Amino acid sequence: MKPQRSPGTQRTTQYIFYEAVLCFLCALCGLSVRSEEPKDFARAIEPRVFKFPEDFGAHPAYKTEWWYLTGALKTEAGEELGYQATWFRAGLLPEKPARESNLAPRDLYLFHGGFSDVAKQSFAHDHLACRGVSTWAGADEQRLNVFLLGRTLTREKDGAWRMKFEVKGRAFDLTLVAEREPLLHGEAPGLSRKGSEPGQASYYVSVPRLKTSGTVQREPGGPAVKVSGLTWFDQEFGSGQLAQDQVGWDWFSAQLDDGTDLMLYHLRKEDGGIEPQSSGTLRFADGRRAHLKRDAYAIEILDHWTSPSTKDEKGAPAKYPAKWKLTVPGEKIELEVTPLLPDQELVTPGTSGVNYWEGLCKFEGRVGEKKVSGRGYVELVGYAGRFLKGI
Amino acid sequence: MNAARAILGVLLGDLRRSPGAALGTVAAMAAGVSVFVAIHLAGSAARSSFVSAVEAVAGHATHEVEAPGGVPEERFADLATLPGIEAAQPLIEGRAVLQAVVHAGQSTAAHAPPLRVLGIDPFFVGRFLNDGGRTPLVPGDAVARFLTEPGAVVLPKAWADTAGAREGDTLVVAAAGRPFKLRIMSVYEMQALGEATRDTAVADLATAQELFDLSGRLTRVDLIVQEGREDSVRTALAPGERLERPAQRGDRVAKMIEAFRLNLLALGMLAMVVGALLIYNAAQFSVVRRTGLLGQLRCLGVTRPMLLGAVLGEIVLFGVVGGVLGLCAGVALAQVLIKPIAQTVTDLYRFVRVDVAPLEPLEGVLVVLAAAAVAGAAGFFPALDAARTQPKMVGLRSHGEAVFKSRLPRLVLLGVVWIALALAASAAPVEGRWPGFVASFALLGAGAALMPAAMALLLPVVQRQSERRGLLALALSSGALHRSLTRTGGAAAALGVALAMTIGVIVMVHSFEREVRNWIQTAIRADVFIGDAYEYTSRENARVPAEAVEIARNAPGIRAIDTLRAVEVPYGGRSIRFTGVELPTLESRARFDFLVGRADEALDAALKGGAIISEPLANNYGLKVGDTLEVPGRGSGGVARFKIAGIFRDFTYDRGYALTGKDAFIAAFGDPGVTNVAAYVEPGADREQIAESLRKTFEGRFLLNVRSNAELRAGIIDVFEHTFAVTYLLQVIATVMALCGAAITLFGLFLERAREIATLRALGATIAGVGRLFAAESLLMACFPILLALPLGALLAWVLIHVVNLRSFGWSIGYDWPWGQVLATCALAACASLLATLVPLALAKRQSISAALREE
Repeated sequence: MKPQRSPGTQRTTQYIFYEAVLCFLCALCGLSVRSEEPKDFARAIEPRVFKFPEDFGAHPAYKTEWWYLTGALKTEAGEELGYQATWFRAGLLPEKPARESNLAPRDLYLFHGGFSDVAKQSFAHDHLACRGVSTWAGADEQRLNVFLLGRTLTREKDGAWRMKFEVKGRAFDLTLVAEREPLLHGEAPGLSRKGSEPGQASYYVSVPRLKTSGTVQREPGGPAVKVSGLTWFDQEFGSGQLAQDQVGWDWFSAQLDDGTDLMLYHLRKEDGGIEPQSSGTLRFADGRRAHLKRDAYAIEILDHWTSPSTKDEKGAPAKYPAKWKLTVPGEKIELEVTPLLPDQELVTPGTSGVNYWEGLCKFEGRVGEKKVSGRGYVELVGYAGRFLKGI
Repeated sequence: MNAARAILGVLLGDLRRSPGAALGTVAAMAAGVSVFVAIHLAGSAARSSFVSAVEAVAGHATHEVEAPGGVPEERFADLATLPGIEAAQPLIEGRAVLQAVVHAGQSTAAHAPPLRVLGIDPFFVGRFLNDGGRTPLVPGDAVARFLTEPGAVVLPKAWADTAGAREGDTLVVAAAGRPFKLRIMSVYEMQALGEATRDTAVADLATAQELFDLSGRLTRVDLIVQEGREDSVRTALAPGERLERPAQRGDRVAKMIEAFRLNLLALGMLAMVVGALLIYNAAQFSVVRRTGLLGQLRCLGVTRPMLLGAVLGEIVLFGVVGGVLGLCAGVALAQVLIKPIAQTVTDLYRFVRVDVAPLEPLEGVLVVLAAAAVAGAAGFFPALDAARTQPKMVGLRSHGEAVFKSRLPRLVLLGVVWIALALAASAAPVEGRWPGFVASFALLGAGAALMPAAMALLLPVVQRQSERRGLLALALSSGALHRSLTRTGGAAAALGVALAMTIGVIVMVHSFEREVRNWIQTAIRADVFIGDAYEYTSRENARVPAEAVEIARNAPGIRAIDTLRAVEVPYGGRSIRFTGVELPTLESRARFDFLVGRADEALDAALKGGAIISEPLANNYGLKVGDTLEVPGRGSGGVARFKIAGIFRDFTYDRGYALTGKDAFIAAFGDPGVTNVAAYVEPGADREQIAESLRKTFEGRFLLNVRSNAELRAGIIDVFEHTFAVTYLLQVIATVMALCGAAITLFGLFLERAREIATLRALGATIAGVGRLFAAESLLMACFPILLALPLGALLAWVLIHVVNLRSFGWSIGYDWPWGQVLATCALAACASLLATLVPLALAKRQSISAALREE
């Protein structure tokens, strides 16, 4: 079922224009607003020592940063729901400007939200941008507290995280408790390379299992339904650029029922190849972590889905991969990944072409000899028009 | 069909023989229509410039939140996230005045209309724009610069062209009492905001806050509220905030000039009355003049309905032609009127830039139809008479006059009814302005109705008396006027009414001015005044920078300063001004002339958190000492309360203003900054010299106006005179129009009597004798209106002062009769009337007596 587009979705092309071209790309891809290399922002070159929970706070010395949460939830009646909530920070200036007005921004903030109702086979999404000033939007340093006009993610005194946001009038109020230690990605833990040049990298940390409980409105303004489940949290910051020839990516995250956490991605290149720096991270129930290099895993596409809403670069309806087989031969892992809802595309109408698919999926297969299943999210960028378009 | 063609042929033939009469008829009608159209257009342009500016910027907003002194910026997040809010945008608005353009390092002084600067947030504005944001205000690739570059601004192309500025240039503008640099980031056609905002530049919120010295505050927050959720939003407002629909702000702004517009409307209606009288007169005359011709047609067997139809058809056609010509002339005249009107509105209320809107086609059609209808109505009775009367009687024009005279008792009755209405209206216990206007118009109506009757009664008396005394010219001319009462009565009535109105306004303005001059002596006490140099163009953000206030406070020779802070707060559907003062010296306390309340007690109470209010505020809202004035502010329930301790005279704000102590003011409205400084010098110090030295100190750093006491007093009188410039202008137009009407009538009269004059000359009258005759006639034509206008003008002035002014503006003024000006006006009317004889006289001189006699 195609998500109904309420008037709010058509937030005007202008708004989308800014958001998409300037901010979304800049935040999501680490692209600079201007094409030249940012001079004053710090860059992710050396591995760094993380300190938690302080490092869940903002790192404004770096140009881009995001707090990305995707989760699989169940109602008390057992109906499956999925959500995505993302706060992006896009640095305009490396330091707070010395201006008389408090409204002169150093950073821009964006919020993207998605909601997948598996039982109703419906999907809704929402987005908002705001300068990081006053009480409007911002993030604390040294402490997890990011906010954007009422959409908040805060670490409370007892260590639990509290998250409030809404997707097209559906209010979410969730409490998240980490079941395990944060998981650092990259060969040098925490430093995730995105290209061959130095600085084409970001600091990347996940909290793959956040026990989640709270309430969700499945319909705009409807009753708040109790839910529980697991959330995957990603935080990434850096100032680097993707290489010019990278056109998009396929990203997977899964929480399997044997306690295995898996993250892997392919950065796709213009010529159809895969960026050699693409990688993944595995963590088993016993805490053993494994960095997966490009050749340590394979992603095989089993099916496709054609978007009714967006077009690719050539003007044909955008075609996304829709079913995959993931294999990590070294760890004897084989997983089939199936979307629980075909249409989980975040559409930004207009000309920017920044549309992406971010959806709840079912993971089934084997880890070693054991049969496993689980839930996770897949993110597909660069299928509905090349995402660099418009810059 | 043939008969109709025959009638048409006869009428056209007549028209060809005496085109002057037809031209006169059409010209009179055109004059009447044009003045009404011009005043109507110019008046509505002033209003529409307010309203369209509000609409263009408010765009799709259903509501907006404002607070006295601005909405604290952090409140935007609260408001934007309230349930029921679909979209929200923060806005800052103000006006800056161009000083110079810096191009490639070269600074050139430049002039352009004041620039309205709109501080927006590019992430929230799109939803509110009329085109839904399809035209980005800020080019996508420039958003980062727009947000981060101090002073970055996007200019409308038309304005940039006027200023001679280009992309990349720097503008030096005056705002909030100091120079400020704006960088032109881009220039483009601002279609998204509409034509009304072509003087509107767009800057980021931060730049706009800095430009207008509004740190921490927003001018307002626009909202799109879901249907039916207004109440829940209202309950979430902070003290002092108010939620309203954009139209309400437009209304408030429009109401601000309501009294002013009402006066314009009244003048427009006067013009219409005069115009209608002229049309009526011309139409009636046109029929009466050809009574003989019509009689002949009756004799030839033309039926009554056909004759009635033909005559009415002709006069209505004249009405249509006159109406169309008048419409064109009116549109042109509006261009002349618009400038003084805009200037007055700017002086009194706030900056407007107005252009005459094109006349709505429907309005144009209505005006022409009205002119045709008046003409038809005027022609109807004489035509009916012509059609009804026995053919042999119709032949005589004197019959037409006789019929007219038989109606005089009816006119007298009508006059009496008008007088009764005037009396009833001025005594009516009805609130508001209408009684005054009804009374004024009833008086004018009475004058118009009674004029022909008075002439019918008095002219024979004049004739008899002058015959007895051997004043031949006077006797002949009064007889001639009396015989042509259909024409002369109407023209004299029109002139009389216009003159009466002029005299009424002269008396009112004179009385007013005397009152203001007296008041200035009391109210303007301080020695030196400091205000924003562009107070009039940027009233909303006029400011004396804090630094400049301190400089003035510590300047040598200055003993004390009083700071004034002011906000506009809505009250009773309009907005009133609230001022906070310190009153540090005896002089600053002595400047109030209390009508109610004891000065010292009232001032002490005001400084302690009470308020004193101006006379218009008290009169407009029926407020008394001891009442509590409740306005939106930071008190409980979002209301600030002030106990009224006194009522003082004031002529600065027709909407009225309230005054309280600085501390109470800041507690109620926050601190919007100082808008004016009044300084008091040491005894014996030279105030002009101190003003001059302050000017020197401020030069280059601030853009402030430093005025000494004498300069400020002169300035107030200037504004006063500006204000009435429009009134005078319109008066002059109405009077000139009426004079033209009278002249046309006289002209027609003289031409008509070519044979009579030829006979006189054949009998030995010299051209000088004919001149005397003409002069006597035209003076008589002026004399009656003047005699009518003097008492009627006096009555009108009384109504204007005691009914209209008091109720419209709340000002009480003493009646003062300026003989000099009144007599000069009358003399002018008489002279103009005399001048109208010159052309016919010249014609008479050239005329061959025998030819004129033969023609008949």
